Amino acid sequence: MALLEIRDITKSYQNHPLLSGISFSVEKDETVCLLGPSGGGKSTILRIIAGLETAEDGQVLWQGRIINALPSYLRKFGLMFQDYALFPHMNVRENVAFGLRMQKMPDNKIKESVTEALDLVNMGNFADRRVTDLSGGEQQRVALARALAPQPQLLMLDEPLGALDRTLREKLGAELRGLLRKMKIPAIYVTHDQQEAFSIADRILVLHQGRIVQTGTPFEVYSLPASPWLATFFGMDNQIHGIVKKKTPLTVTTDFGEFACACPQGEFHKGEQVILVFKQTGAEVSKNVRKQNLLEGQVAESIFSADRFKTKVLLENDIGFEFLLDNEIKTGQNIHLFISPDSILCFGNSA
Amino acid sequence: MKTKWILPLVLVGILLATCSPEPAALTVMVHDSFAISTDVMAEFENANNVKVNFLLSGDAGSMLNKAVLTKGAPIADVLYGVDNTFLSRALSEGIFEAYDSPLLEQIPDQFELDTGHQALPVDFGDVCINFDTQYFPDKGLPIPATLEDLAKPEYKGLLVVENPATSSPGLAFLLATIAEYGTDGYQAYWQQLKENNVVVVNDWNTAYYTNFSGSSGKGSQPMVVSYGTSPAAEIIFADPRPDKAPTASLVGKNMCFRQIEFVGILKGSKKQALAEKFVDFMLSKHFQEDIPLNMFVFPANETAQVPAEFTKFVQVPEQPAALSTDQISANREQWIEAWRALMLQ
Amino acid sequence: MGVFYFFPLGKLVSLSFPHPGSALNKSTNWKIIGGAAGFTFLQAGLSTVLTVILGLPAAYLFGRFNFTGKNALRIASTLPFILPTVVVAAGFNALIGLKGWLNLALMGILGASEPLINIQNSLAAILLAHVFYNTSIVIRVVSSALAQFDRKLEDAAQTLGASPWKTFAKITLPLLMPSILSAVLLVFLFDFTSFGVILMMGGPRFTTLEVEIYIQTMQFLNLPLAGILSLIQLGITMLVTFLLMRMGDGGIGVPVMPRLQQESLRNPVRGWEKVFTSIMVILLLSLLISPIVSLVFRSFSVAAPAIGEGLVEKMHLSLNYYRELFINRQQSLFYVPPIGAVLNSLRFAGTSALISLSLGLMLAYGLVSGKNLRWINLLMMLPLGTSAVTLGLGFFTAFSGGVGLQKWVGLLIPLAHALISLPFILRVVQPALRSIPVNLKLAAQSLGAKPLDVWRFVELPIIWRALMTAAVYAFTISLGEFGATSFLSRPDTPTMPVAIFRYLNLPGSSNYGQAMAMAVIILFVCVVSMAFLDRLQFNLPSGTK
Repeated sequence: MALLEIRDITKSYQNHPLLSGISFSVEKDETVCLLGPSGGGKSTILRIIAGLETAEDGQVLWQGRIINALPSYLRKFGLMFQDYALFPHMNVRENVAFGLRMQKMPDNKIKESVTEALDLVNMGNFADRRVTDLSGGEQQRVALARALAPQPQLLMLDEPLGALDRTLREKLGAELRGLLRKMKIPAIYVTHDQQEAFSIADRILVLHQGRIVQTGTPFEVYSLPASPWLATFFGMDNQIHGIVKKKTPLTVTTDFGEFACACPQGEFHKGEQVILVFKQTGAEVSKNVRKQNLLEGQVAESIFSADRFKTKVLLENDIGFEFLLDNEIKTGQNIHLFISPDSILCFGNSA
Repeated sequence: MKTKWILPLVLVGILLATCSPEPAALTVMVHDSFAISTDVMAEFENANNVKVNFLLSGDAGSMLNKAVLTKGAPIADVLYGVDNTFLSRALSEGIFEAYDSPLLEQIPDQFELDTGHQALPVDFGDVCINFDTQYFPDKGLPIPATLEDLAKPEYKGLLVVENPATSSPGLAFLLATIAEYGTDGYQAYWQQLKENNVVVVNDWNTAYYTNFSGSSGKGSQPMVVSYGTSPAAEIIFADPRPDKAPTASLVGKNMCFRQIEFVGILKGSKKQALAEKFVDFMLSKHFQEDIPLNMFVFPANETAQVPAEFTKFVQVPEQPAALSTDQISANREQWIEAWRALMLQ
Repeated sequence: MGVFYFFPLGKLVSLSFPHPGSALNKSTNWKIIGGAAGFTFLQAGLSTVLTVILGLPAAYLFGRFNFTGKNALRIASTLPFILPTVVVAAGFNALIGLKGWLNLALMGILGASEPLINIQNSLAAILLAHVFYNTSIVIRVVSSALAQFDRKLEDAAQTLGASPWKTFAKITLPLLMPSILSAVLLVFLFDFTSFGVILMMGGPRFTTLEVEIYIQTMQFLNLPLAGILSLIQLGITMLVTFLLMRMGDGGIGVPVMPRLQQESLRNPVRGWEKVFTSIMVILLLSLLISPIVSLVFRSFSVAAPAIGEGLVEKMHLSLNYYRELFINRQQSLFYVPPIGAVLNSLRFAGTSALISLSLGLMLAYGLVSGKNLRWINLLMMLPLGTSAVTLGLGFFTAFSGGVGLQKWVGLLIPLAHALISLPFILRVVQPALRSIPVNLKLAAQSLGAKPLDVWRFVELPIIWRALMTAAVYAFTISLGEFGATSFLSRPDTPTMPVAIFRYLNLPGSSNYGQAMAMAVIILFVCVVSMAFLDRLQFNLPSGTK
């Protein structure tokens, strides 16, 4: 049985629908990531789970029991806020100790736990500092320690790395990942950054226009996005329209030629309109002329990126596709690219 | 060196002299209760080509303070509104310039408390106990005739007076009792009043409009220390005019205290001649006849006529209480503090 | 400030010292004076406590919830502040006087023959009047802080296991403390130097330092002693200010998120919220509004009504009073035209608001990072805690440069008002300024905005609400004509309170009626101007998006 279950949560904001029918579950030991564009309602889901807001419809279940009516302060769910929300009138120690005080833990135990929590986040030396004196990264860590100290049954993190710069983000992201693995409590992590989501989550839930549009492991989600929108979200911009020529093996006619696709997302029949997505990794310079799966175009630019070359190829009608190639190709040169069928996704065109 | 300045000065002087079609200005310091009609003032201003500026300076005490503080370099030319309780102090501070106005002939001697003519009497009024004319017949009570009566048990709790420390009529009434019972006996009298549940409030406003049953406030006390002219005001300022007077004054011996108000030219004024003209004007019949309906006091000038309502509805005491201004000045503080100690414990 | 405060004060005080001996003579009753000092402190303290007891929940009401009639209620609760004491006394009398509505109602219900509530001339009356007057200060100061409070802190506390009460006690309240203490200080100072209320509501049995100063000055012309008393009063003021500021220091103050909307306000949702809202509204209505309403009704009937007695005919009678106001029956030179008085009052108030806004802004900018903060704050509070009588005479002495004084009066009055408003302005504007994240300004500049634009488009919207709150405060102080300005004579520019006094100082039902009518006009003018200002406060002027 899942530890936390969300069923059909619906909520509107100022008469516009914000969340519709959100359902998912979180197992013990699992880190689930809510991924989606900013402002999509992800934080609201966390707040509903935490009990800070109520949904118009739907249930929140913990260990099988509906807890909709349970007030926030009784839920024992830790929440780490986007802008940390540290208590400015208390120092670091007092901030971290707050949850423990609310549990009426004896003073000496509190001292112990606080030290433990601070050490966990490498902030042991900062115990007596005022929180207003801390840098962004330091505040974030204190916020984490504060959320962890009372040993919550569930930990929720709302864009914890959002306010930090690139290097700090990577460093702290790694620390977070390590911590979460160690903690063995279920965690829900909210972010708009895919990299973050991929590196931290056991499972990803993608949120789009108030609905969950795909769930799966990072690998699953990334290799098989469930819709053209998702594909775009993951940066797969190489998309074109086509018409199904043959059902098995799936062959699609497009303006740029015929393509055999190995990854149909759904059943298609002949004549149906579809959208093809070419993954960036599936192209190879082709010496031979082929009948199928060939793209012809002119190189617009070729930029080195982490041991591959990001190559932008201009096709007819000024459409540009981007592929990752092994070698650099000079700008202006015409090339033929063979696109492997395994790297082509095919979606129904419901647009 | 001096010659350098003479020429410009002369030029300025010529300029100033030739610029005189502008009306001169006369400043008169008055207390906040001062009022007069526009046409009466217009008469003076037109006749003398002068613009009269009135400086409303607070109550009498405030005004006197201001005059004393600016002694020698006065902010006005004339000051009106010093009354007989403050007269001694004003004279000893030497703020006035003596002026023997010819109009003094029309003013009875009894008002000329300053024989040196630094302060000239303008008007007088009595502080008297007003009573609700309906109340007493309704309750079958005789109207008190003397101060002594007020201490009688049948009038228990029916009188409201003001604190002499904070109210001018309050002080006046206290002085009346001192005039009657002397400096040794007044405290015993007040003790009696206290035992007779006399109500004390701080200001005339509260006493008259909150406590007094004869005013619009419809309060609980049918007797209040107010002004002798208040009954007339109740008639004049009522709409529609009642045919029967709702209030009247108790005018037994020493039950009322006479207040006289004075005007004086401030020493150091640069407009002596104009100021003298104004003082004359204030003592003249025309001005004096305008006083009653504006300030609700009587004109000092005996040739001035008083309005019919005054004659009909104001009871003038035959034996108003009076104390010498020097005596008042010397003992004021002591009397008031003694009263406070007695009455406010 | 040096010019307009210390110089007049110094001048007047200097009068004491040449002859310190003459200040004291055997009649000077030090017992009375000592008692006065003690009582002043006592009544001010009690009043402040009571005001806070009513004001804090009310501030919570306004700072947290939206409800129908909120704006109207807020305006109505500020009205008492503006009314002259004479009017307030009349209003209270109309409500709880011996022949007031409450007594009449009670007598009717319980069949009693004697009025049951008699608090004329009592400590209770003083306390009641003070609460009536000053609750709005607490409401405005604290609710504005509350409204800007970052609610995420409370959310965080809840997720950490703090119940709503614990959250309030450990998080909200400590962070709110500085503004609460500010309000407490302001209220205390007003109560401490209160004059009209003590005089009229308390009666002769009670005397305070201010009353004694008045008596020494106006009755005994004993300026040296008055000066000494003023110094004593000032000394206590400084002490209290210092102590309270000490308590508030080290307090971080409300962590504000620069908000343009009132995001943290919502309608009461949960059960207890609804109950709370209703109770507070009723309480505020009965305590703060009913005296005013009674007054308005009394102005229409001008006599303790026997129930059922021709109310209509009485209404007709009193509409006459409104008409009478506009007629100068005696052709008096000193007749105060109502419209003129209204305009004068508004003019002074507007000028005062502008002056204090600019002064406040300048000071706030200058002080945002100042170490001298504490001392300057202390200095700012002084005018509030100084005797109005002393200050008035001081002003007079310092500035009586002959007839030239007349011209300056137009400026002196708003200036004096602005001086009194200054502490409040600072208190409200400063935190707002501090709350602007430095990054915002830098970001704007890096996008190419000129400094003036940065100010207009970044800073101004954020501090706009604070500025307007401050302006409203200055405006209301000016309308209410506090402090020394009653001693600045201005026959050419009479204001609304002056108009009332003129009528109330004469007997006669027509005079009384006109005074009441004028009071109602004052109320009306106040309501309209405050509604207008409140509108401005919560809507940015267009163009500053």
